[in-house]
Amino acid sequence: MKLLNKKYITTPSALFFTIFITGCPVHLVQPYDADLYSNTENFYKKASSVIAKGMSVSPKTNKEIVSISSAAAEQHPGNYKKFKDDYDALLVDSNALILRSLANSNQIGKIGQDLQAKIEAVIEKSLPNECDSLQDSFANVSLTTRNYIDLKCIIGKWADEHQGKGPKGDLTYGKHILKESNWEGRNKTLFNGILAIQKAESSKKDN
Amino acid sequence: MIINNVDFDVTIKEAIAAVKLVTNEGWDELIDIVENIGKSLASDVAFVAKKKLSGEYEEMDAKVFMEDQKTVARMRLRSIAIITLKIAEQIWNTIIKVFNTAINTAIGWTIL
Repeated sequence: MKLLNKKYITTPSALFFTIFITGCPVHLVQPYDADLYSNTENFYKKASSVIAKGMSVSPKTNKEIVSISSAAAEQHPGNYKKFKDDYDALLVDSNALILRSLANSNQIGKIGQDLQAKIEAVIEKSLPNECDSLQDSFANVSLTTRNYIDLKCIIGKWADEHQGKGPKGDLTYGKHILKESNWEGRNKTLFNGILAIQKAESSKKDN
Repeated sequence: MIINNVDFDVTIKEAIAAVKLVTNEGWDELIDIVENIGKSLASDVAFVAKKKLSGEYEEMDAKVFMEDQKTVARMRLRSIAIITLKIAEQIWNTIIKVFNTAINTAIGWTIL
């Protein structure tokens, strides 16, 4: 009886015993989704071609941007207006990725959901940024979905920066034109972000 | 310990061998992504330094770039967590599978 005394039963061991005695497999992450993987790859290709377009038409230095007259800036191939449709299309695609990942979120067990919520809280506390408000609008979603929410946040932020409304200030000197090197930085961000997402998804394959 | 001809010492060894297979594959994935993080961080710093030197980046450009890297870092941490949770799930389910068979055989009923 002494062993059954509450103080001898710790939470992890009780958890372990409960799960073990049911003999049921646990689901800590949502299953591999081939369509999600493939749609993410297509998103990368689309976003990457927008970035390539941006790099090819944008000036190299701030000096060059400042020297463009306001009237000429309106017609410049690097102006936000020439990219608005691209940003809108990428935002639609990123929403579609969020929806696709949400469809499989319910396949995670209760323990998995609790663990993922705790991990997300630690991540957002360690690395807070302007994406937190968008994250807050989605309750009880998986880490997979949270990555797509951050991806959408990045695209929205890029559109704002191109209009001179970025959280760090106006990169465009009021001309709504970015530098080639800003696009180059975006290229690195996109590649590394998508790589992280795809690594996690592919790790679930064939299991 | 042997119960009804089921040797649980052998079962434990089987479970360990099965778990080892799972963790070997999982750890490769994990090490891969951690290595990638290390290389990318170094590459990000080199990128900013190079752009500063060439005059293409001013302080605000660097701040904007690093803010994006912060979001990428969040994505990487989530991905590491997903891979780790997947490994934990595989370990757990492997153990359950091996022991369920042994327990059911020892008892003589399908109780698990």
